[in-house]
Amino acid sequence: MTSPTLDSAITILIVDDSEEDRVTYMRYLKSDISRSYHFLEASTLEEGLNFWRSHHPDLVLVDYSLPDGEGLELLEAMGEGVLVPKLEAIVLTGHYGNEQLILQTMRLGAADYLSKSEVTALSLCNRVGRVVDHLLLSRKLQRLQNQEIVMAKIALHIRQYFDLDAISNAIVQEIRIFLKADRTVIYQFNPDMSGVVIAESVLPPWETCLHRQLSDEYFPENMGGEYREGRVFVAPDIYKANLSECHVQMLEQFPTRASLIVPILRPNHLDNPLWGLLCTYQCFEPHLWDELDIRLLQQLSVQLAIALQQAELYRNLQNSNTDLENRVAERTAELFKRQQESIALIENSPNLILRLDRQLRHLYINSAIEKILGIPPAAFIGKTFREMGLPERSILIAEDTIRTLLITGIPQQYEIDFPLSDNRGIAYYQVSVIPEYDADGEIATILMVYADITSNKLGEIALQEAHRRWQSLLDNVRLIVISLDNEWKVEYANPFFLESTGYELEEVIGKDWLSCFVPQTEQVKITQDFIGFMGNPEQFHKYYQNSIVTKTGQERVVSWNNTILRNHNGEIIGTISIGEDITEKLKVERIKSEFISIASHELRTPLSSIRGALGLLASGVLANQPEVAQHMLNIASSDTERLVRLVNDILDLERLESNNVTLNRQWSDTSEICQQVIETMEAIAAESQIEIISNVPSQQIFADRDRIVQTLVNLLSNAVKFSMPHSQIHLEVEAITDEIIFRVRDHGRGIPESNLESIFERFNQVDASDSRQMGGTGLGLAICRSIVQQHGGKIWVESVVNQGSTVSFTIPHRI
Amino acid sequence: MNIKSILLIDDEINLAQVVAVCLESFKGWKVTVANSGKEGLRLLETIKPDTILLDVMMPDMDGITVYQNLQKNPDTQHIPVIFLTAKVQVSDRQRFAQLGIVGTIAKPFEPLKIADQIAELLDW
Repeated sequence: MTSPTLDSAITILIVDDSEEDRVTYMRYLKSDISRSYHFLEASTLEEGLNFWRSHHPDLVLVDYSLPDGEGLELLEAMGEGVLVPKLEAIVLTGHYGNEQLILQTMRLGAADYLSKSEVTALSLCNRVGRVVDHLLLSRKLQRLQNQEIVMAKIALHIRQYFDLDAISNAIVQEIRIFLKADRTVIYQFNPDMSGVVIAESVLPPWETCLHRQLSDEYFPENMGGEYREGRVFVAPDIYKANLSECHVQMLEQFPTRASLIVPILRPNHLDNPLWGLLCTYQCFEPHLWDELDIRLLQQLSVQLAIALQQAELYRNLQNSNTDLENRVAERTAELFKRQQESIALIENSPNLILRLDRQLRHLYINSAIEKILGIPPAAFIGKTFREMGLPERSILIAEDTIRTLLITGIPQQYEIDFPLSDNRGIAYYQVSVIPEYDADGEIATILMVYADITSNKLGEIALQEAHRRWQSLLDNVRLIVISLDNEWKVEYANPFFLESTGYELEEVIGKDWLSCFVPQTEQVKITQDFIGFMGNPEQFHKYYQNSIVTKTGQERVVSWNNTILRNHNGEIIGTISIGEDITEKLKVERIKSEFISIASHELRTPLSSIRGALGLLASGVLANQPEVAQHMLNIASSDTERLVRLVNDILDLERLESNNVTLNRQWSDTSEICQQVIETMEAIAAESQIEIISNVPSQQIFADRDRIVQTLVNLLSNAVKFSMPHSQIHLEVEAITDEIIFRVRDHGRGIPESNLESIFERFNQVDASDSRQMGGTGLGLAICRSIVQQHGGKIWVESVVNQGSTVSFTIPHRI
Repeated sequence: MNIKSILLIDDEINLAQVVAVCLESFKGWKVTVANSGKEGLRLLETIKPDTILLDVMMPDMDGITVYQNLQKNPDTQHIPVIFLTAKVQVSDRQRFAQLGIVGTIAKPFEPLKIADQIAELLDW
């Protein structure tokens, strides 16, 4: 072990038997203040050799002549084993100018020689100085060379090993040897700035401190302090380095006398670049650290940092590799498990699942087939549907679908039903046909999945049937059905609505109900009711009556039964209304009530006069007025007659209109009928000086003869009433293809055009008083119309005011 | 007591004649009968009755028109008018009352009672 020198002084061994000379030389050399020398003194050759061997002086000043031998012997010892030695030795000789001697010393490798007579302070200092300069220079070169070797070695280690431990161990080893230190360690910080020794090279007998945890409070507090800035800690002697007590204590743990510590920084870790420390210690003695050593260590720490990064990357890579491998293994295990589960699922699926090859032979079929057809799956393997004797229809559909699949490559779907085994009924299946490809992208096999949709299908059929019934009901019901949405747009209208209104379906759907189908006069009220109902559905009018407008603009009164439609969330989505067209019903009711009102008035008027007349007679006030009394009796009698006619007519009409009269049809001759009518009317006409002219061909007619006579008498008596004296009335009959037309034509005052229809209504004569004045009841034409209609004919009037009227009616040959 | 004179305008000839006899026999009033509105208006050119009984529903000219003609004529506008009408709805009565008539008697009236009804309406 080399003893470290405390300073950089050059050790000079002076071998000379003259103490005086030795002292002189030393005094001279010390006078050179640019250098500092350390001296070893030997007075004999042997002593000189011993010192050389033990102390390895940097330079030897040797006297040629020594008491126990020649100084050249020392040179020989120094250059031993070296072919061309170059010795840091200067030979001093008293033999000035002895060329033989000079040659000899040079051959032995001495650096210089000096004649004792020439020795002065200047000459000695120059000679020694030159040798020392050369020595220092060559040593420095040597050191640099060594450093480069170390660097190269370490770089090689770093390239050789990816493993951080191997690199770290190699580095500390190289550094410790190179620096000739007692201990070199790599110290790694934990995230909390405590740390651990992760690599060490140490000489015996010093104890190892590998893996030792160091809990210096200094580091955690300042996060590594100046080390983070890259500062190097250099302590030639820790006891003279002005360190804190605790720092010294920490360093003593190793133990340490001199320490050189450089930080290991990771430049890409900006938050805390300080990874660890590269520490070199001399354990026992102080040591002056060379500037070059410090720089070397710094460079090594950079190398180390690179190695660290590399190692970390490598470790991460390894970890991720391991991770990847683990994951692959996990996936494989999971896949296997899934596969097992899938197989179990497929095997136990209620759906029929099978796989066919391109020739439609079964490669696989699950056990569902046994439940469906009662045939074990194994029986299908290698067989086609046809070979299995399945129902022809199912084979054809399957073959056709698979053919399509093989051509198009598109998955197919169809529905099929087939009978279950043991007469368990029909099952419905939805069949999915799916291509399965090989590595070349060709369809290799075909997967077929038969999903049992029997319950769905039956439900669907039931639903369709229910729907069909509803549709049929809606299509055929003789009621209006209208569905409106929330904005009162028509969503549905049934055929009867279209029939009633004359609209086409496309003229109705989507139209606004109010503005298109409700009379303007009723829109406001319905809108108000609707708004009220939207605010409070409780107020919804379940029953409603309003008019609708047909395409031709007629109004029909409809009695509605309304229902609110809600969606599955209970929100109102519209209404559906069923309506009955009550227009005719209302009209009939109105006519009926008017008839009763008029009839009662018509009956009570003659009754009042009869009662008044008889009351007067009974009271006796007319006892002295026989003429007035007779007049009253006449009135009573006349009004009694009128009352009888009226009651007869009303009852007759009522019977006719309620179809309680059965016509007594028989074949009759029209001329005979007309003859009978003329005979009946002749006297009355003659009384009014009116002539009845008839030109009636003989035609057979199948009719109730008495009713036809009644009708014609009625018409003729009307004509007589409204004709002027000396005028004519024509009775004509004309036979055309299907019917016979009867005409009664007068030249009377005529009927205004506006009344041509209403004269056939009950009590609706043109002039109410006319009939009474003319002795009629106001029911004659109504009765005529009823009779004609009973025969299946029509009755109408054509008239020109003040020129005359023609009443015509038809009787069909056959009903 | 001077004898009241009444003009009865009604197209129901028989009933009008019975009424006339009733009024003359029981009350001693002098009754003139017209069988149409036109005839009534023509008679009013010569007679000035104390009241007019006017049927509303008549052919040719209805009672309302007759009444309006009476109101236009200064000679007849002061004569109290009683309507004879089959229309006995409350709304009809109100409408007639607004015309300024004395009252209405429902048709067909009872000949034996009508005299008392007229006397009551006219405070005779």
